[in-house]
Amino acid sequence: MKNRTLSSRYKRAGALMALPSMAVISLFIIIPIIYSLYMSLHDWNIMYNIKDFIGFDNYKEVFSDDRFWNALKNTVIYTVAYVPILVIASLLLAAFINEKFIGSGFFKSLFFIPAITSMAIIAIIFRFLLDGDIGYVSIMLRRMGFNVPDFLRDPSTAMGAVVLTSAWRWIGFYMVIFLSGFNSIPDSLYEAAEIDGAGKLRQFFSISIPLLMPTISFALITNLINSFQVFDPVYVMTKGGPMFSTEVLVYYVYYMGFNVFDMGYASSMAFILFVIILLFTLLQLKGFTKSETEGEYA
Amino acid sequence: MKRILVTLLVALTCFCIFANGSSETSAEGPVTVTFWNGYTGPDRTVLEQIVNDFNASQSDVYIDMLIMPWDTLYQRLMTSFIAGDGPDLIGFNIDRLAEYASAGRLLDLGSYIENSEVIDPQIMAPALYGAGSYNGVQYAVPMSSTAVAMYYNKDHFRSAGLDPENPPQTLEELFDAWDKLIIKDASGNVTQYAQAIGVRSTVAMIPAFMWLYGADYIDAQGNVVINSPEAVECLTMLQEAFAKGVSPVGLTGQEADNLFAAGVASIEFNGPWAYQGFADAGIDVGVAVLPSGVDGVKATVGGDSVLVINKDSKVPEAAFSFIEYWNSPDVQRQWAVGTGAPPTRMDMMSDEEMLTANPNIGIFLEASQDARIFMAGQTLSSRFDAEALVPLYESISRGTATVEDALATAEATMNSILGN
Amino acid sequence: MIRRNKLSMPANIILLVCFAVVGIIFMLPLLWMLFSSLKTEAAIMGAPGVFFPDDYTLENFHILLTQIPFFRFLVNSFIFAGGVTLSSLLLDSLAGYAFAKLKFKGSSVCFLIVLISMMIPFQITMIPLYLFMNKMHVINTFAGLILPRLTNAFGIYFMRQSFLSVPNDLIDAGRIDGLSEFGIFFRIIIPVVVSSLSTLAVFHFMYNWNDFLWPMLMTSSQNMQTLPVGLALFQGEHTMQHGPMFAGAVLSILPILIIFLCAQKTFIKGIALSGIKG
Repeated sequence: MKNRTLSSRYKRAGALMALPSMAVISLFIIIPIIYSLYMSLHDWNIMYNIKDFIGFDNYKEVFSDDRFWNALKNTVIYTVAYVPILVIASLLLAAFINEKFIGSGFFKSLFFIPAITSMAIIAIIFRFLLDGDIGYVSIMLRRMGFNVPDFLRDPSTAMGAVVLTSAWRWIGFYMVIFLSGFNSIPDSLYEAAEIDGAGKLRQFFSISIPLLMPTISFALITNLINSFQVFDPVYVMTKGGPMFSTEVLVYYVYYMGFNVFDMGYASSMAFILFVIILLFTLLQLKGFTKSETEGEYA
Repeated sequence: MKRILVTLLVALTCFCIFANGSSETSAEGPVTVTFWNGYTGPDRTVLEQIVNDFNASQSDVYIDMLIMPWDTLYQRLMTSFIAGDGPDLIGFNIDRLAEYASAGRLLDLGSYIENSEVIDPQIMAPALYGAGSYNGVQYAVPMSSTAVAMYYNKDHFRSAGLDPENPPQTLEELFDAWDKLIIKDASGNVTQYAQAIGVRSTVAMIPAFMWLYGADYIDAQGNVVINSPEAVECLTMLQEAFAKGVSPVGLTGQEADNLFAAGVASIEFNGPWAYQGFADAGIDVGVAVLPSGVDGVKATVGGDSVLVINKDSKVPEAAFSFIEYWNSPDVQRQWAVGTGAPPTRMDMMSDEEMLTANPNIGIFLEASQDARIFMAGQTLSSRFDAEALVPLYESISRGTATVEDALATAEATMNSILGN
Repeated sequence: MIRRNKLSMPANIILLVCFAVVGIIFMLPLLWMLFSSLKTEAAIMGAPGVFFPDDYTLENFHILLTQIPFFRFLVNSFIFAGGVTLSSLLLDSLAGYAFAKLKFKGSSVCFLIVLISMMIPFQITMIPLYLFMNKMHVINTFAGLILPRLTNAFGIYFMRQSFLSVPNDLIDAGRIDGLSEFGIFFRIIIPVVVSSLSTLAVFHFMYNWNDFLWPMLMTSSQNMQTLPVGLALFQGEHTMQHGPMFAGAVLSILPILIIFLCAQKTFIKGIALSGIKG
């Protein structure tokens, strides 16, 4: 009897603690989402105050829209290129920094700096640096004898340039995350491996990687979700061009919403995107639960 | 400890209420007019000076100005219009007027102009003033009337054996100059382009060529007329020009400006605002009107910006008082001298004080005689540009499609946008 | 932390040299920006292949500071990013604690909602949110900027992971001492997760300091603009003042860089404590 009142007291406290956050999330995220779902079922043009219910017509139209499929394809290309580059590069950097050589602490901070720089500023710099004619990078590469393309103005390289710029920005950040993962691996494991005669490379693959799995899966999941929602680098660097080669889904949503003012159409695309992300996450739910149980170490 | 939560919520509520109060205008003091425009360039300081002068000159109206890039302006404008908190006064490009006028977002200025002692329709720059009306209603008054001219690098002209004081006056002379101005290195890479031609996010550079060839986009009846023999001829010329390295492909307006400012391109079509930046970058810059086109046709891109008032504005009179101030002779002289843009008033065209203070004004004045407004009266001009014209220019300049195919695609896209 | 596998001197030097090379290439864009901000416009445009300025000039900084109210932007950024960070730390950790240790009826549904709201692109809720904020008359106020960010789904998830690693014994001990649940939370639990909180603080501060779209949408006068918005709106379609732009970029990185360098130690420790560690 006493236990029961006690546990209900805990529950009440828990509910009370979660209440403000849940109120904020409902008010500023969930209700707007429901509203935009409602919008997606309408021919809704905010410019002309048009608002006619049309059921799922927007969704049908989306599926026969070449530009949507192109944007989806570009989003997938971005994700498939960006996530592995980011995770592998930052993991490798972390592995070396973790050797704690002279000056490693300095480099740890150095690599982090791009992450605290705003994308708008990075875009200003990179658009200038990568200019095919007067960009410092192009000029240097040409002096070294390379035949360089016009990175951001060539449809075959523009997406690559956007991916590398984003990766450049976030590598230091994920390196720090992996470093803290390395820190929590007990030294005794490496010592034992050394006694068994395992080399550094062997240790990396059979000790570090398996024990870093929760961190790696965290990095993979968050970056998959974020890559599918990629917008900033495209908006500030290429505006979807040249020739739609960097137009990703959220950018197309933004274009339809804020240039064409067709909110119904924009919302329906956003919803399709949401469903895709949701499916991805469900597939990865294993990763979520795993890192969760691992979280319960003492 | 629940108290903490309660306190927090109360604090939040207070915060909101407090924040509310601060956004309301107080009963006393000057009326505040919010004013948005896109003059981010070197003309920004001139504009800010004029607004400051206006605010200091009287105590009834206070102009609260926000300057942002044009594309940001249009994206912000719509959201704030539907939310009902839009700016009172807006300076925007004439080619966006029809879009907002047709959506009923702008105030009919007819009665204000009638009662005005400053704004006389007879003396305003006719093309721009005329373009300020939509379906017979006058929604806009000129803000800055200008035209695109030809900038050229005098040093490049000298080294190429061209006369820097005698720039090309016909298309033939221009093409001849192109051939002389292109410089390639040993491996065939272009190191100096003849002309920087922007194809997206830019002042209309290719439309100027189209008009010089007698081609057009949409006729007075609203029919798509882009797929014409003249357009084929013009775009074929451009496709060949891009292929031989006259200009890099896929340039934005800003990138084209950069190339000219860096001395990597010899010619650029641009408006008066560009002059100061080129001069600061150390270019020995010449300005001239565009060469005449096929059969001697004279044409250039004109228009620039107009002032409009939000239909939901609570202070239209105050906003209009700034429009009057703006178009008064002294302010127009200040604007013209500071930016090189011709005045909006025809009665100032031979104003000695102005013409001697900034010799470029004469050239832009001459250019504006032949200026046409791109996509005037089109409610869908921004969509035409993004969805049909930029892809057209890009595919032509990159040679990824034949001129005939690309034009047919653009025509179909424009028609389908119209059909929506 | 005890240094493991003390590297030999040659190995040290090889790694140092390799990282010096990689580091210089990596930092090239930011260094280039720094040096360009000290060049004249003619040098930036006229000699794009030259890295170091011939003549150092502070003219660009002078132009920037006279043309835009830089310090106003700086203060706005601090209020916005700081306000969001403070409120979010409190609300995130409260909710995260409830989800981790005080499961209530419906808490799993609530947590699912939190997870789902992490997957929504902001652009989709932007318009309805804007209209809603307008109804509340908070556009162009700090309240409007901060309200939707009072709490953050990722923050809740992050703090929940941290709390999972706090042993239940601590809570039980507090209960035996007769503390209320809130008392336990504030007096016992919070001190244990300080480093996670500081990590989250850096996350939130960084994100909001650099955020662009939302503050741009919500501010309609220059007095309210944050630093990235003010700087981005300073450059236009046909702008040719590159020097002042680079100067602005340099100045806007400085404050957050200083904050990061100060908070670095606890920040990195906090990551290790939260769920995203190995």
